[in-house]
Amino acid sequence: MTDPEKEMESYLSRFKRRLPPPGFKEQLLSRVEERRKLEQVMTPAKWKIACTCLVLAVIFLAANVFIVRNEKQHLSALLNINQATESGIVEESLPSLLADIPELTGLEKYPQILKWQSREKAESRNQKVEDYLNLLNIKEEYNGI
Amino acid sequence: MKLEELYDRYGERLHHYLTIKLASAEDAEDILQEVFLRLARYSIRWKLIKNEEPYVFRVARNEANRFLKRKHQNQINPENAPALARVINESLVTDCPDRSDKESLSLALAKLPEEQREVVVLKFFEELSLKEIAAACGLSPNTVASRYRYGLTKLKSLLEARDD
Repeated sequence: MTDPEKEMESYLSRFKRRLPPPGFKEQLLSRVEERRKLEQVMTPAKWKIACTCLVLAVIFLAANVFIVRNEKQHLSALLNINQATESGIVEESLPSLLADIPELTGLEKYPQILKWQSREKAESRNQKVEDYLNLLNIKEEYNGI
Repeated sequence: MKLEELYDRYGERLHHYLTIKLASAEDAEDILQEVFLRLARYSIRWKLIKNEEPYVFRVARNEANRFLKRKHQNQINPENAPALARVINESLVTDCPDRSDKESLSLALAKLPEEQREVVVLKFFEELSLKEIAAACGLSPNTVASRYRYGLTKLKSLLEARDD
């Protein structure tokens, strides 16, 4: 560092910054706090409540799924209801369908088979819904509702 | 960190820096409020900050620049040097009995280019090291050192010219 710089530094060291007027700190901080409160829509307390609600909702949904599945299995076992799979139905009924329409060629049979398959699926779905509704009725009767 | 603690550490220095930067004690008060509000919002980042002091001054500097930009005034107009000199004069105290000394320094500081004045003010009155000033202003330490050197040289020549 050169001498003129040192000289200037010693000159400047004679001056200090003036302190803000008394009460400035309190006034400033209170105004900042006021604005902060206005800005904070989600206060820490509100965040806690929201998080608790979310956790409870997740627990409730998980428990609900678990309970429904268990109840379904329990009732099925109790009433000895077997659920047929879609593929099972198709495999069993397909030979008889083919035997019923011997006059059709291979190319003509194919769309027929597809149509039949889709109809079978729809019926199977309806059957399942009916089974489920029956199951509910049985459950309600069983519970005395 | 609590706001009160933050004020005790930096409040007075920030207020002084902003007063000179904005050439107005009233504007400095408003901007200081914004700075503290911003620091309170950023409180979650405090643990990640290594050098707190330059960070706080950087926030203040950015806020002051935003304010000047809003006023369509990126820098203090050099023609307003007498008004700025009055503000600087009011913001300084000295144990020196000669009042004209302080007035001369204030006018010389007001006549310095903005970037040199900022470095000199941060170094002398806000007690930041050149490295910290570089971090606060987002400049290289070499640039800050050269601005500081040029600033002091110019300040000296301005003071000598006034004495003559």
